[in-house]
Amino acid sequence: MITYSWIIAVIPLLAFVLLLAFGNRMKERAAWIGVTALGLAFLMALKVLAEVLAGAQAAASFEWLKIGSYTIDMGFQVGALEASMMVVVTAVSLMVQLYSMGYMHGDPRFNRYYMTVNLFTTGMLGVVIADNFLLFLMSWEIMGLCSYLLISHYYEDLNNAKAGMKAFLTTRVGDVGMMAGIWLLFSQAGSFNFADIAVWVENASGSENIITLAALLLFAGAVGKSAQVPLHVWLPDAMAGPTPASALIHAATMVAAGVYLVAKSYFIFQASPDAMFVVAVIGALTAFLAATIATVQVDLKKVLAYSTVSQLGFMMLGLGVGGYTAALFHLITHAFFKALLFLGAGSVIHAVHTQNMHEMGGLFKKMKITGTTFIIGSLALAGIPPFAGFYSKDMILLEAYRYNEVLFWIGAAAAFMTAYYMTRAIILTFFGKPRDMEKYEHAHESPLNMSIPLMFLAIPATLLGYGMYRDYFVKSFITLPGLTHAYHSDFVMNMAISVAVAGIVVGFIVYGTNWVSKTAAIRNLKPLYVLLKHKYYFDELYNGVVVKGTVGISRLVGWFDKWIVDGLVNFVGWSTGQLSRLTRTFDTIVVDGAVNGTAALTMAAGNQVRKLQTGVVQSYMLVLFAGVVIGLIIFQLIGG
Amino acid sequence: MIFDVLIPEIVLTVVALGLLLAAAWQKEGQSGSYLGYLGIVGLLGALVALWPAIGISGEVFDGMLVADELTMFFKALLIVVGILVFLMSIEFVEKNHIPAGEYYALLLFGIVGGMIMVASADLLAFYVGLELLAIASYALTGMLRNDHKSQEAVLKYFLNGALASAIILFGISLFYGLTGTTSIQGLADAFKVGVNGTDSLVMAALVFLMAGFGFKIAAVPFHLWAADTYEGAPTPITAFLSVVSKGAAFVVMMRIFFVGLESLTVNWSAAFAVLAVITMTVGNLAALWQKNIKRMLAYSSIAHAGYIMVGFAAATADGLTGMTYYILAYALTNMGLFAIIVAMSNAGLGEDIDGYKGLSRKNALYAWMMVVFFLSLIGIPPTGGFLGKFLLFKASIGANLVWLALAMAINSAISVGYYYGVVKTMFLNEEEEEEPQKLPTTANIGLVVWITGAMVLVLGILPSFFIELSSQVAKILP
Repeated sequence: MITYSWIIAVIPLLAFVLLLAFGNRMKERAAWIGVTALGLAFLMALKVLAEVLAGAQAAASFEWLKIGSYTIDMGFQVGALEASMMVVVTAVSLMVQLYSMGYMHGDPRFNRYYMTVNLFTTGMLGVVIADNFLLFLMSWEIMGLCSYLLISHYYEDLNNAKAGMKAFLTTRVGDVGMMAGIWLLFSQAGSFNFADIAVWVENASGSENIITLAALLLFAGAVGKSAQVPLHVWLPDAMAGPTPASALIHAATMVAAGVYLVAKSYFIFQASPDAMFVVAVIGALTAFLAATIATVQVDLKKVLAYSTVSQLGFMMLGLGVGGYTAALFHLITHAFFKALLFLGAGSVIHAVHTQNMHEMGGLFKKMKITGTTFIIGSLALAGIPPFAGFYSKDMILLEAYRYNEVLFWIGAAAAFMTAYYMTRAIILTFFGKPRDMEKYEHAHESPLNMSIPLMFLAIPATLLGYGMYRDYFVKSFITLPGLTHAYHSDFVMNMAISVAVAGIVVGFIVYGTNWVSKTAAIRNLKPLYVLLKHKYYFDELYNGVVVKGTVGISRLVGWFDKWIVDGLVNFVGWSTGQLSRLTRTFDTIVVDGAVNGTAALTMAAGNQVRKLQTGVVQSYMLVLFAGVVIGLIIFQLIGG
Repeated sequence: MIFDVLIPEIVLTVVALGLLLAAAWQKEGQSGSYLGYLGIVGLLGALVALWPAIGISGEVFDGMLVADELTMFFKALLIVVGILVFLMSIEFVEKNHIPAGEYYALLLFGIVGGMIMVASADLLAFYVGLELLAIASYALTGMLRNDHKSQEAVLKYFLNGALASAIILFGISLFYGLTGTTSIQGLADAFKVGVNGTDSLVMAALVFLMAGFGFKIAAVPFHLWAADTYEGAPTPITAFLSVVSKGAAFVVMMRIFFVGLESLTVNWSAAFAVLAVITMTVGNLAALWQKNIKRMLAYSSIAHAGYIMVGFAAATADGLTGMTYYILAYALTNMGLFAIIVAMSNAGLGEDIDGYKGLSRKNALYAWMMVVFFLSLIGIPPTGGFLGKFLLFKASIGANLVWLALAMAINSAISVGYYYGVVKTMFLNEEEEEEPQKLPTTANIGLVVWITGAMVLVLGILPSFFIELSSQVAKILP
C-alpha cells in the first residue's frame, strides 16, 4: 500500500473532476462524492500509517523534465511525519465534508463549495507528500487559490470578496520570498529535491550566509501562509468564508503548511542558528500578540481565528527552539481540537445566525452536544490535562525553557491568555442569561450530520495527546536523526498547568461572576483596550504604507505617461510658437503685408493641425527618439 | 533543397493570392467565412509542408535565408498561431463587416513575412520580411474602417512603425559601412578579424538596432504606441500583433545578437538587463490602472517583453532556451485569452473589464480558462508560463544576475494585482438577476480555447518534449 500512497492525494482530485462533470445535476447529493472519496482516502491513509508504524517507508520519483544536462524529478516520500499528516488531513477533510452537508444546506453554490474543498484537499496532500520544492510549491499555490475562492464564497457582501483578495495578496508577499529562497537553493544545490539539498547543506562549509538567507526567505513564505507577525492580518479576515471551510483550511491544515514547510526544510534551519533564532522570536511574538488580541474580540469566529494565529506561533516557537517533535506534535493535536472548535462555533452560528457573542448566552441548555464538545475542545486548547493540547503545549514550553527562559515566559503568558479567552468565549456563548431572547428562542441543536463530526473530533481532542505522549512514543516516531529532546521538567509542567488553571479562574471571575465591573475595568485599562481593539494597528499601518504606496506609484507612472510626455511636446510646441512669433515680429518689420498675411495663415493652420492631432503621436515619436539619443550617449560613455 | 525549405511559404503565398482572386468574385452581402476556412486549409497544408524540411539545415538563396532548428520551431509556431487567429477571426469578420478577402489574405502575407524574418540569415532579407509583416499589420489594424479608434490606432502604429523601420535600416547601413557585409554570419566574422568592436560608430549602430527592435517588441521607452494600437485594432489583430509581430522580432534578435554580434555581447547584454527591468516594471505598474481589457493586456504584453529580454541579459544557451520556451507559452496563452475577448466582443459585451461581471455564470468554460491563462501569465504552476519563467530564472541565476531574477519575482507578484482584478470581476461581482443570460460557446472560439488551454497545461505539466525542442534552438550558437 505505502508505495502507492500518492493515490491518496489523487483521490480528492478525482472527486473534484467528478463534481465538475456531474455535480450541478446532482444537486446536494453531490456531497456524497466528496464524502465517499475522502472516506476512502482516510482509510488508505490509516493503512499507510499502520505500515509506517510497522517500520515501512517509501519514496518514488520519475523524470519530469530534462534541460540540457539537468534533470528535474517529481516524486513523493512517505515517512512517519507524512503518514501522520495524511491521516490528519484526510480525517479533518472527511469530517468537514460530512458536516458541510448540513451546514451548507440550501447554499446556491453548494457544488462549487464541494469542488473547491476537494481540490484544496489534493493541494494539501500534495504539500504533505512532496519530495521536492517544485511539487511543494505547485500544491501550495493550489491551496492558495482554493483558500481565496472559499473566503470569498459569500461574495454578495463586498467585504468578503475583499477579505479573499487580502488573504491572497498578503500570502503572496510571503510567497515571493519563498520562491526566491527556492531559486537560491536551486542555484546553489542544483536541485529542488529535499534530499539533494540536504546533501548540499551538509557539505556547504563556508556558505553559512547563503544558508541563513535561504532559510529566512523560505521562512517568509511560512510567515505568510501560517499568518505569523507581521503577515498575520489576513487570517482573521478570512473568517468571512463558510465556517467548515475555516475549520479545514484556516485552522487545521493550510495555515499549518507554513509550519510544515519549516519542518520539511528543517535541515536548512538547523544549519543556521541565526535563522532558528528568528523563527523562535517571530513565533513567540505571534503567540503572545495574537492571544492578547483574542481577549477583546466579540465575534466568536474571530476569537478562534486569533487563537489559531497564536497557536501557530507556538508551533513556530517550538521549531525555532529546536523542538521539532514538539512543534509537529502540537500541529497534529491542534488540527483536531481546533477543527472541533470551529465546527462547534459553526453549529452555534447555524443555530442563532449571529457570530456576535454578546447576542448569545445560555445556549448550553439548548445545544448539549455542541456545548459539551466545544468545552472539550477548549480544555484541549487551554492545555488542561488530560486533554490533547496539554501534552503538546507542555512539550513546546519545555523545549523553549531549555533554549531561552525569556521565550519560555512569553509562551507561558500566551498560554495563560489562551485559557482566559476560551473561558470568556464559553461563558459568553453557552452560559449566563440569554442576551437576545428572540435568537435564543429559535436556537436548537444542529442536525445529526453536523453533530456526529463534532463527537468524532472530540475523541482525538481528548485522547490523542496522551496516546502519542505515552512512553515518549512521539519522540521516537516523529523525529530527525541527531535531534536531542528535552525530556521532563516538573517546574515547566507545573507552570503549564498553573497558568492554564489561572487563566480559567480569572476568566471565570471576570465573566462568570459579578465581582469585577467590566465597564470599570475597560475604563481603567483604556489605552491597552484601545490598542488591542485595533489589533496593534497593523491594518492601519499596511493600508497607509503599502497599499497607498503601490497605488501611488502606479498613479505616478500613469501620470508620467500622460503629462510629462505630453508636457514635453507642448513645451516643444510652445517654444516653436515663440520662435515663430519672433520670426513674425521680424517679418512685420522687414517684409511687407502680403508675406505677413501668409505667415499668419501658416500659424493658424499649424494651430489647427496641432489641435486635431492632440499631440500624442508626435510625443510618442519624441520619446522613441529620446530613447535613441540617451542610448547613444550612454553607449558612447560606457561602451566607447 | 530550396523547395524543401520554402514550400510552406510558397503554399501560403499562393493561397493568399487565391483568396484575393476569390474575393473579387464575391457578391455584395455574401458571407466571406468560406475564405477564412480556405485560409485555414492553406495553413494546415503549410504545416504539413514543413515536414520534409525537418532535419535539414543549411542556407538558401546565397545565404539570404537559413534552415535550422530555430527556424523550424518558430515557423511551426507561426503557422499554428496563424490557424488560431483565423479561427477566432471568422465570426468577428462577419459581425463587423470587414472585407473578408483582404483581411485573410493580409493575415497570410503577414505570416509569410514573419516566416521570412525567422528564417533570415541576412539583414536585408530580415528587413524585407519585417516590412512585409509590418505593412500587412498596418493595414489589418485599420480594418475597422468606420471605427474612430481603429483609425487612430493605425495612424499611430504606422507613423511610429515607419520611424522605427527607418531607425533599424539606419543601424543596418551603419553595420554595412563598418563591415562591408549584411550577412549575419559575415558580421560575426568581420568583428573577429579586424573591425574594432569598441569603436564608437559600432556602438551607435548597436543603439540604432536595439532601439528599432525595442519598438517592435514594445520595450520601454519605445512602448508608447502599443496601448493605443492594441486597444484600437480589431481584437483578433491585437492577438496577432502581440504574438506574431513581437515573437518574430524576438527570433530575429536572437540570431542577430547571439550570432552576428556575439563579440559585442558584453555591451548588449548589459543594456538588455537594464531595459528588461525597466520594461517589466513600467508595463506592470501601468497595467494596474487600466479599465479596458485590451489596454490592460497591451501593458501586460509590454511587461512580458521585459521578462523575455532577461534571456538576452543572460546571453547564454540557457537564456536562449528560456526565451524560446517562454515565447511558446506566452503565444499560446495570449491566443486563448484573446479568443475569449473576441467572443465577448462578438456577444456585444464590450471590452471594458466591467463587462466581464459574472462571466463565471454566463459561461463557466471561458471564466475558468481565463483563470488558467492568467495563472500562466503570472507564472504560477502548473502552467506553461511558470515553466517559462523558471527557465529564465535559471538562466539569469546561471549568468550571476540574481538581482534580475529578483526583479522578475517582484514583478510577477505585482502583476497578480491586475489579473486578479479581472478574476474577481468574473467570479465575484455577479449581477443581481437570478439567472443571467447564458453566453453560448461557439465552435470556432471554443476550439481555440480548448486547444490553447490544454497546451498551456501540457506545457506546465508534461513539458519534456517542448523543453527538448527549445534547447535544440541553442544550436545556432557559434
